[in-house]
Parts: sequence; structure tokens; C-alpha cells
Amino acid sequence: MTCFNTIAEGVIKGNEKLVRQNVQELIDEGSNPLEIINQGLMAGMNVVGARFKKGDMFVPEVMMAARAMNSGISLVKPLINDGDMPSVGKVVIGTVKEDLHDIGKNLVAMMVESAGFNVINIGIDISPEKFAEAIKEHKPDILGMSAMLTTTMMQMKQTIEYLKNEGLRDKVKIIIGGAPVTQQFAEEIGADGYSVDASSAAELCKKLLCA
Amino acid sequence: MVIIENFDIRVDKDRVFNIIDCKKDSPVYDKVDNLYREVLNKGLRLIEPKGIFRLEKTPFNFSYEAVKGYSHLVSCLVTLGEEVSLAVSKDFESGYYLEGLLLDTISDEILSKIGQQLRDKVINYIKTLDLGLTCRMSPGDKDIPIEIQRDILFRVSGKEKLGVDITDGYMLNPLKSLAYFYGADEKIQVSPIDHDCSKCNRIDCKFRRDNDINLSILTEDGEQLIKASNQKNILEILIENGIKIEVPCSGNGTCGKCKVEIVEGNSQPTQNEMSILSEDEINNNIRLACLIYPKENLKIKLESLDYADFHILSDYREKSSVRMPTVEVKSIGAVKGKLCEQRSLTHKINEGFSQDYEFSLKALQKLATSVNRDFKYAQKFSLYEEEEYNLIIYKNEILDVCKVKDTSVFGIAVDIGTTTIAIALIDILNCKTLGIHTILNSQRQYGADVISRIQYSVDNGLQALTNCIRKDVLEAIEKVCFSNGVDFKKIYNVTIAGNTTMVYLLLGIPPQSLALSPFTTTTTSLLEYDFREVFNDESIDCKVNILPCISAYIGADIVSGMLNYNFDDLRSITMLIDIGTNGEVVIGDRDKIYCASTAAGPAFEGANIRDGIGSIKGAIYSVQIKEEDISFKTLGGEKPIGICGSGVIDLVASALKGDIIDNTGRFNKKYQESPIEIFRENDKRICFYQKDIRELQLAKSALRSGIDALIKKFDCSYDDIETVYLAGGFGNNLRVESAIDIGLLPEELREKIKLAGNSSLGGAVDFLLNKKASERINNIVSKSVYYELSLEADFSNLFIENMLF
Ligand code: B12
Ligand code: SF4
Ligand code: FES
Repeated sequence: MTCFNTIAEGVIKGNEKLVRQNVQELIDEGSNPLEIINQGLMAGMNVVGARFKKGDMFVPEVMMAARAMNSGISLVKPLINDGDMPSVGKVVIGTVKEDLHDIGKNLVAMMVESAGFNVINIGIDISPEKFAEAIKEHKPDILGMSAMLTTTMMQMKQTIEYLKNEGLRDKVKIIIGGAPVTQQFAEEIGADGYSVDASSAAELCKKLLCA
Repeated sequence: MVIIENFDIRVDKDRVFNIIDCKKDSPVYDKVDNLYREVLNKGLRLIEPKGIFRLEKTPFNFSYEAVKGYSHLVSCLVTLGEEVSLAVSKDFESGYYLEGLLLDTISDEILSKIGQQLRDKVINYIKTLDLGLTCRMSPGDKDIPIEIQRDILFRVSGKEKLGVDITDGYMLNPLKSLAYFYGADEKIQVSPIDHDCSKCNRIDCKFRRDNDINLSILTEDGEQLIKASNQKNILEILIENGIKIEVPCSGNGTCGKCKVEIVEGNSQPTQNEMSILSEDEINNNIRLACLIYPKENLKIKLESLDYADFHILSDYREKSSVRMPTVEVKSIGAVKGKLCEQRSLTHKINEGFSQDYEFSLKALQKLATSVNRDFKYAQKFSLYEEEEYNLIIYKNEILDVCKVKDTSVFGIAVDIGTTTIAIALIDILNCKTLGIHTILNSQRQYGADVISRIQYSVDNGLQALTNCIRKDVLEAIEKVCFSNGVDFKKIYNVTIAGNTTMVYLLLGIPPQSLALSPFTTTTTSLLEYDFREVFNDESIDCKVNILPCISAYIGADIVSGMLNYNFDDLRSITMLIDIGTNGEVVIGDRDKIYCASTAAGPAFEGANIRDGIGSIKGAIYSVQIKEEDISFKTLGGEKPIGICGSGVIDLVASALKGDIIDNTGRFNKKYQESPIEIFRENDKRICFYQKDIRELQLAKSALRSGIDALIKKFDCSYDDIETVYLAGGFGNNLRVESAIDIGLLPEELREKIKLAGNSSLGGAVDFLLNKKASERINNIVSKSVYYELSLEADFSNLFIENMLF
């Protein structure tokens, strides 16, 4: 008998095979797909997130865990109606215009997604106009912007201004990050949050939605 | 303006792992490690490394004032192209996070390496003009505005020459690009450091390069200064710098052999060191190289290694006879006159040499540059200006084309043994061995002997074993090339010998049938495949020769040994005996060769001896018993850690003389209760037990009976035999006298026995250096007949008889 714990363990260990096997077993036994996600896959990933934050787990392990979890979800997903997919919230994330860095942003996307958010990664070199479009299209709760250079960092400010003019600013919470970005800069340009790294980014998103 | 495209690309794996936070003790280390090679190869395929620099009088309008203090400005740009960044994004999109992160980090490392190499080229260039160079100035660092990226790009025509563009945010596109500059002037020296992290305030940046330490190493040859990363342990640093030290446990921190003395500087002993080293040693600042991660400058002293009284495993006989390497070099100058117009270049070359060569694609692409002036980039590899250049030829194929000054040809010889793997790097052009590297076969984790490995493959599939052996060989090749400064591109052949099972495991051929009567083999032929195919790795582009074997138990190692001792051309009756878990015996003359394998069991390798150990440093290899007094010698003169096969034989021989053991192998009364104690210090005892004698008796009898039965089969007497070569790692530490005393080898052959060293590796080297070797080795194989001695009628009688001493 597979139980949710085994799946959670599998996620924590980053053992994709084990996770798939057990998820399939549960599906075959007729378990509730939502419970598989919440009590198995997500439960495991929450532990991973916490350990990562505490420094007990490192990026490569987290990545393997995330992969194992996603793999499990892909098995359950077809059994759930689109609207019923559990999601803590929706996040659109991208790197600002004229900036091509994406590894940091991708890490953030991965962590936030693992924390149960529905993340839409819209890529690099995203102009204020494109951010605005993405907000209209996806109606996210949170918008994340990443920039790695002091020069491109200013695009964050411009994007926020643009969103204000378009009347979209209040529709989303805005978070920012990247090597040259600071908390102070975030406050200056009127963003709702900033975080130094990927694990705290996930927390930040949760915090913003509770408030 | 100078464009460079041929960079020497080497990635420091440890740095990559460090950057992505994958420590050695990470639970996923092995998985990441397995991925690493795959991703590295992918990266190498995707990148298009290019660099460009331009030296000019400092322009008055250059926007960074500080440069105006120098007479010249050097603008630099390097890039890897955009493919690799696209692949990273794609990996992330498809959920292959780890692959993506690895690929990204690897390419950052490569970019940084080629940046450093570009500087070397800059230095070579400005030195001819008597200019010195400042350290690197990077836009975006401290007070250097990032906007200068555009100036640099413009000065080197980066867009036209390298296809690098810039965004309005001053970001280079492709992402994996770097733009930087230097000041150059007669008044200054070349700065010893390039990129200067020390002035950067990101203290915990994992990419930092300034946390290097100075390591001063005292050896008998004097003092050597090394700059090293503080992320590595001393053992790794020593190995990287080609300094020899013994590492029986391959740096696991368990054997306690890699001792160094800290002369200056601090190093707190670790828990491991406390338990392995004696108190005295700790107080005298003796530490284990593989456990010290120096965080500050250190001066260390290496204990001198005593190689004098024993041979290491990798010694082999080098022949002085005329050599005709398998890979040849021919100068195109020789036939250039004949390269008249019309007809194709290849046609003309073939005509010039009266040959019918085929051309590799690489060779064609390079050849074409001799008749095509300007490619897109003038400085790309071009033979246009060359009077003369060289063709690198293997068999009937022109593999490569080189400028005369860049012509070098290297080969790799490999011997894959069940316990150890030995690799020799050969300078084929000069017929010289440049370096030898011996490592333990890490398949050991799947079992000590051939049979247990085969069993593992039956239970769990081959893949793990195959990967393991590929990785070992690759890493050993990397090490030996790295410490000799040899570029992988210059390796044109790899020749591999090894026992049948090891060869099958390397090739991914299921070995089960080798372990089951009637011991069917899938192939015994001389094989040739692409390196890529055999190793699933593209870092080296050449053919791999796998030497032939004769049967399941007479492998390529023995055949290779026969090549090393010219068994194809024997004038008198000669034997080759390899003493190991499977004792192989070969006897041959001008017309025929007989071989047999004897199931001696692992006693000779110290395996089923209670306090036994392989032939590594600290193994007791010689024992004398005089009355109550026991004296012994250890390999390398180290503190004893166990007794190896030769020690066991020596001990028994001595005990027989002293009547401590009778000829049935029984201890005399005194020792019946307690074993012979050879060594004791505190709790550590090394003893020899009654049961050990029984194991030895079985092994000795199996081998001796094999020798005798085969000689009988060959229909000759001891007198007719001219020479007996003893091969194998064990062979060289063996005291022949003792082997004869216990009856392992026949008394009558006493004068004829010679130690042969690692004849398997020696044969593989011969193969590389002699075009005729493939013919010769096939000749050896076709002359050879294998006998399954255990099926012979009187073998069991012989076996029982030989159990006695
Ligand atoms: C590796 C690196 C590179 C690599 C490429 C980076 C890549 N990933 O592809 C290479 C070698 C190509 C490179 C080149 C250059 N780089 Co660079 N580079 C770095 C370095 C050392 C690390 C960046 C990195 O990948 N970190 C790893 C990732 C995982 O971390 P991250 O991106 O910071 O993201 C984390 C957080 O920032 C946060 N985060 C990120 N985005 C977001 C978004 C949100 C919403 C949130 C909440 C959080 C968040 O979470 C992430 C995960 O933990 C940084 C310095 C540093 N230590 O940060 C400089 C740095 C970014 N580079 C810098 C510079 C100047 C350059 C160059 C201009 C240098 C030159 N003169 O050539 C070039 C420009 C390249 C170009 N195409 O134009 C400067 C920028 C300074 C400035 N004034 O703008 C930095 C800051 C170094 C410095 N000098 O201080 N670089
Ligand atoms: S410490 Fe990091 S960011 Fe600073 S100069 Fe060195 S590599 Fe660049
Ligand atoms: S190499 Fe064995 S302890 Fe260091």
C-alpha cells in the first residue's frame, strides 16, 4: 500500500522514478488526485523549501526534488479539471527589457512554482508593454521582474510607471530581484517586495498574498 | 586586430560543483556527477568560442579617464555564441533544471577561461613591442561605467567580426560574452594578476577567484611555489601540478598514506586525521594531504618516497628496436612541387605520395585553407601562408592537417586490470613515454574479482559497471594529459589492453557467458572503434584499438604481454606467467603458443588472507623469521597496514625453513593456539593464521599444477625452457627465491626467471609505436591454443600433490 508519505519522501529525495511509481499506484487505487498533490507531492516540496531556506539542502537537491514533483504532477494533472488545479496564486515573471540574464529568474520561477504557485515565465528582454499585456492576458496575483545590470535595473522603474499609466499597477503585487537590486531600490520605485534569493522569493510571494 | 578561435578548453569540474553548491557530501553528488559529463559534452558542442583584441594608441575620446595615463589601450571581447544560452532556457522550460544550471555554469567557466587565454595572447603580442599591461578593467565593476561595453564593442568591431551586439541597456547579446580592456605602456610591467576580485565587495560571491592561496612545497628537489584555489585539498593541488604522492585510497581519507608535514602555517587536524595518525605525528604537524583544505598560505614538506627497493605497478619494458608508429606524420613540403594546378588537392596529394589516402572531414576543412585566402576571419586556422605543413596519417586515412610548428602526435596506452588501471601518455613522434598514471579501478565497489563483477552485472545490469570504467579511464587520461600539458586534440590514438571481462565491461558487452561453462566469448578479435562510441564522450576524436584476447580467461592483457615480449618471434621456448587471481600461464616457441588459466583464487592479491592487503604502500612484502625474531619490510618503507601476496609467500618460505610449518602446511605445536604475530602496535596487530596457509596452498597448487601440466602438454622439459617472464603487479615485489622454496615455481627454472613488470601496458605501448603490431598480435593469437587444464585426466592428482610444500 502506497501512502502519501512515500511520495513526499520520494520528492524530498529527488527520486523521480519512485515518485512516478507511487503516484501511479495511488491513481490506480482510485485515490483522490487532489489529495495526491496536496498531501503527497506538495507536502514533500514544502519540506524541501523549508530545508533549502535553512541551508540544510542545496540548489542541486532542490532541483531534483522539483523535477520529481513536476513529474508526479504531470501524471495527476489529466485527472483534474483545469479550474480545479490547486494553486496558491498566479505569478508572471520575466527579465526586463534590454537585459538577457535568465538563470536567476529561472531559479526563482522554479522555487515559486514548487511552492504551489502557478508560474508563467515570460522570458527575457521584456518591455513594459509586454509586461502589461501579460498582466491583461494571465491576470496574475504577482508580477516578478529580474534585472542584472545597474543600467537595465532602471527598466523596472519604467515598467512600474507604465503600468500605473495603464491602470494596471493596482491589479498586481510587484516583486523584483537580481544582483544589483536592493530593498531600498524596491521601495524607491514603488515595488511591493524584494528578495535576495530564490528561497526567500517563494516566501515573499506567500506573504504578499496573505496580506 | 587579432581574432582567436582556437582556445584550449578545459573546465575545472570542482569549481563548477562548488558554484552550483554541490558538495562532495551532497546526497545527489553522484547523480550530478553522472550528469556532468553529458552536459559538458553538450556544452562543448554548443559553444562557439571566439575572442578578439585590438591594440591601439589610447584614443583621446575614450570615456574611461584612467586609461589615458597609459600610452596604449587594449580592447578585448570574448563570446561563446548564443546557442548555449538558448539551450539553457530550453532546459529550464522543460523542467530539466539541473541540466540547465550545469550547462549555464559550465559555459560561464569556459567563458572566463577563454578570457584568461585571450590575455595570454595579448601578453605575447605586447611583449614583442616591449609594452607592459595593467590588470583587467571590466565595465560594470566598481567605478567603471557599464556603458563602456559599447566603446569596446565598437573598437574591436565586435558586431562585424564576432557577431556580438549590444542592447540599449548596454548588455552584450549573446549573453555569454565579456567585454573588457587593459592599459598598456612601456613604463609598466605586465601585471601578475588579471581579473582582480580583491577589489570587489561581493565577499560571498561564489565566482570569486582571489581566494587563492600560496602553497610552497618542499621536496628533495627543492622548493616549488604554487598558487592554488582554497576550495581544493592539498592532494588535488599536488596532482594538478604533477607532484607525485602515494594515494592508495584515492584521496578518501582512509588509508592514511598521503602524509605531508606542515612546516609553516596552520592546519587543525580533522577528526579523521586524529584517528588515523599517531599522536606523535599530529604533534609533529604531519597531516593527510587529501584532508587539508588550506585556507591560508602554507609551506609543506613531502616525505620522500622510497621507490628504490620496489617497482611500481606501471613500470614496463620499453623496447629500443626500430619503431614505426601507427600514426605517422608526412610533410606536404615533400610533394608540394607536384601540386600543380587542375585536379583536386586530395588527388594531388595522393599522387604525390603514390597513395590512396582517405581524408577525414576535419582534414579536408583544414586543407582547404591552403588554397582559400581569406575566410571570414583572417586569423582562423589557415595554411595559406605556409610553405610547408604536415599530414597526420593513421592507416589509410589522413586524420588531420597541422602547421609544422604545431605538429605533435600523442597516443594513450591503457591497461585495465581488475584492481588497477594504468595509463601511459606516449609522444608518438618521439617514441617517448611522457607520463604514467595509475589509479584503482573504481568498479571495486561492485566486487573484488571478475566473477563478482559479472554477478553484479547479471543482477543489476551492465550500465553502472560500464560507466564506472569509462569514467575511470577518462579521468586518468585527463590527469595524465593535464599534468603534461597535452591538448586532447593532439591525441590520435588510444590502445587498450585488459582482461576479457574488463574489456567487455568497457564495451558494454554482456559478460555473463564468460563465467559459465563452456565460457563462450562474444568476440576475441582486435577491435577498432571511434573514441566517441567506446566512451560515449566527445572530448577526444580518434580511434580506439582494443587488443584481442584468446579466451574468456586469457585476455587482451596476456596477449598484450606476449606482444611486449615478442611471442610472435620466439627463438627458444619462453614462458609468461601472470600471477593473480587467475594465474595465467603461457608457453611458446617459434611455431606454437599454449595458454592456460588457473583458478588460483585471490590469495596472491592478499584478498582472502585474514590480514591481507593488495600491493600498495605499507603492505608487508617481505618477511624473515629467525627463531623468535620476525623482521619485515613494507612497500615504500611505510608503517605496515597488512600483508600482501609476496609477503605471504616470503613468510611461508621462511616458516618452512624454521620448521614452524611442516610440509603438509600445519603449524607446529607452538603456533597451534595462536597465530604468528608479525607486527603489533597498540591495538593494531598483523598476524598470519593457519587458515591463511590453507588459502595459500590452494592458490600455489593451482598455479604450479597449471605450469607443470602446460609444460607437459607442450611436450618439453624444464631444461628446454630458456626464459620465464613473471608479469603482473604482484610479480615485481615477489622474491623469486621464496616462490621457489614454497614450490610455487619449479626449482629447475630458478635461473631463468625474469620480472616483466606491467607487460600488458608495455604491449599496448608497443602497439602504438609499431605499425606492424596489429599483424604481429594477430599472429600471436592465431598461433595460440587454449587448454582447459582442469579437464585433463591427471590434473586433480597433480593438484593434490602440489598442495604439499
Ligand atoms: C555569472 C555572471 C556572469 C556570466 C553570465 C551570467 C549568466 N547567468 O548567464 C557572464 C560571465 C557571461 C557575465 C558577463 C558579464 N557580467 Co556578469 N556576473 C555574473 C555573476 C558573477 C553571477 C550572476 C549569476 O549567474 N548568479 C547566479 C544566479 C542564480 O543568481 P542571480 O542571477 O543573482 O539571481 C538570484 C537573485 O538575484 C534573485 N533574483 C534574481 N532575479 C529575481 C527576480 C525576482 C522577482 C526576485 C524576487 C529575485 C530574483 O534570486 C536569484 C536566485 O537566488 C554576477 C555577480 C554576482 N555574484 O551576482 C555578475 C554581474 C551580474 N555581472 C556584471 C557585469 C558587469 C558583467 C559584464 C558586463 C562584465 C564585462 N565587462 O564583460 C558582462 C556582461 C555580459 C553581457 N552579455 O553583457 C556585474 C553587473 C554590475 C553592474 N554594474 O551592473 C555583476 C553584478 C558583477 C559585478 N561586477 O558586480 N556575468
Ligand atoms: S567577486 Fe564575483 S562579482 Fe566580484 S569581481 Fe569577482 S567574480 Fe565578479
Ligand atoms: S589518500 Fe588515503 S588518506 Fe589521503
